[in-house]
Amino acid sequence: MTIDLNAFLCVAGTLFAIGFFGVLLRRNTLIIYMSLELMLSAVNLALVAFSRYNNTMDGNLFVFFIITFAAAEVAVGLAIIVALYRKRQSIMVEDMDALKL
Amino acid sequence: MTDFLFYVFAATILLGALGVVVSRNPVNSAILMIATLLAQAAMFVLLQAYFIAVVQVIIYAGAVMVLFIFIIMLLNIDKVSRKPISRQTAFVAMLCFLALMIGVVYISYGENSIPSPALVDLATQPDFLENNPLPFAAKVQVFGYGLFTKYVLPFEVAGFILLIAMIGVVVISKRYHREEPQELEQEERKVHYYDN
Repeated sequence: MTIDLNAFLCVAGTLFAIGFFGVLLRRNTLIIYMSLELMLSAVNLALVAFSRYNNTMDGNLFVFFIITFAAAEVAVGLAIIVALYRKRQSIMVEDMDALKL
Repeated sequence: MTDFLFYVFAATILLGALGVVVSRNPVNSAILMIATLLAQAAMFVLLQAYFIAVVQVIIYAGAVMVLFIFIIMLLNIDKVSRKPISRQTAFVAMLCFLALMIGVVYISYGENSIPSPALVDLATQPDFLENNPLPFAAKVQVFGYGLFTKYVLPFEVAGFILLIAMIGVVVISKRYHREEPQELEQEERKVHYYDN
């Protein structure tokens, strides 16, 4: 394969940037959460690329742990979003202003 | 051939991610997110991380996204207000995106960028070798060996965190009984009693 490590890192960095863009731009909590997942998976891609090009297995194992924690985090986060929706009847961030002065 | 596949999957990942961010309907976002994650799994196959690719398809594209779609279905999205995004927000988000992109391109292909062989050389430095990196292999056996020898403590912690997450979800989504519904139930019971 003639694709070098930098190409993979470029894709991962762009994916991270798109996820960050989504977190800043959108106000629907669910889509913000999906953008956060995009950022996490961008890091996964970078780790696997480093792992392959360095001929070590450690990056792959880190990715396994990241996926495990992401699954746990998504379960808790979505439960919190549902609880917020029950309380406020909305999932838009502008309606979640209880901490605003 | 693999080069061509790389470009196809990279394009799918980036366009899908962009679609997730800009599409108005959350269901479209979720479907595009699944496409993105599947393309990423294909990328992992290109990188010979076969086990990670399978885990990505089963856990991310399968379980996590099904959970997302389930929640979208559960919450009534039609009631969500459709106010347009303010110009300031869009401007700041675009600025941050461009700054990150310039950084990514500069680091990868700029004048002072580290070429790929040099990055790979870093793995042969003595500091790195002190940590006894596991040799790469496509076999799942090597994966499991690393999981149960070098990374056995993180593995245990991961299992514990999954347990905590499960308990936490049950506690958060538990419906605490208020006074009104119980009274209503009693009234209903009375009505039934009188009917009988």
